[in-house]
Amino acid sequence: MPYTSRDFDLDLEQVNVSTSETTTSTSFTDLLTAGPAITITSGVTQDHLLWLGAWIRNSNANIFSFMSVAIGGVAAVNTNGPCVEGFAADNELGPGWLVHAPSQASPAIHTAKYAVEANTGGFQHRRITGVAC
Amino acid sequence: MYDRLYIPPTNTIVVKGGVRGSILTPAGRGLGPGQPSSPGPGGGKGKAGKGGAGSGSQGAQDQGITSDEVDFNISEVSVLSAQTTTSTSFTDLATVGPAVTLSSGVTQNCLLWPECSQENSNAGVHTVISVAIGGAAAADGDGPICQDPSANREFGAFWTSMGANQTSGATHTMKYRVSGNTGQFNRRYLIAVAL
Repeated sequence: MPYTSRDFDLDLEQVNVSTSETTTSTSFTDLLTAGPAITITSGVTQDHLLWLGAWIRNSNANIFSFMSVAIGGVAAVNTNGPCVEGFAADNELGPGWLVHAPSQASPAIHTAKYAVEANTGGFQHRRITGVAC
Repeated sequence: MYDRLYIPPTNTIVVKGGVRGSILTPAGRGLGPGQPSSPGPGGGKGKAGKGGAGSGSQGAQDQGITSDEVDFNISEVSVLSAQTTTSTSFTDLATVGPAVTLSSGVTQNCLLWPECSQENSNAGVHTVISVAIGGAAAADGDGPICQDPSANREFGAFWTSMGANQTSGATHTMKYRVSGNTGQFNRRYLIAVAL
């Protein structure tokens, strides 16, 4: 094959928020520090791959905390990100998630959002990574 | 670094900010359709186009590049045996790594996906994975965490980290720590690609 990695510089973006912040919202919302958010500007309408990750916990056992992403500004839904249901209060787990966002305009802004089933959810080392392809 | 390229939904690759179908030379120059290309090192890696070997017209590039013409040199290294640590700072296990070395030939960003099953010998204690990106010290936030609700509850997860502007030949190595007691890590994988 004539082309290898050195022939490409894809529009790869990653943004992190490392501080631990919480929410009690049962609908997807921002934390005190909004995001992280990435802007992908490839120049044309394209599919995007987005990777989400955070260290997630809930103040009560057996209650979900959710992370999701507002894809191109569209309201976040709980099928587009990881969730943690701790077996014990503040049981912290750090899952990753991969989202396929088809036909995104250029530029497109993708922002991480957060919700809980109940009680208080905590989120640390939040990150979103994305690439147009 | 070259002009940016992107892959539209049709799986063709064109030059961002340049002329559709342009191909880049190692010097970073975008060549428009119909312009003669210059040979790259060692025959130019075919950058002169689909029909050329370092020279020729760029006109054929209007069709873009398709997946069958690209090898992104995705690297994967695994360590499948379960090993432990009691270190509270990031360290190696008995079998170091896994570690991947990306040698694309130029300084590039890279994506790294560490994945592993992890558990701790005690309830309520963390096991943490990270990656020493390009040899820099591993840090929290570059890998998943598990806080066991009870002893030895195994949790499997993957994570996505980005290495910015990594030199060709940079090595990326998974590291491990606990907040106490003994952490065990099993089925360790590190997958990486330069982009």
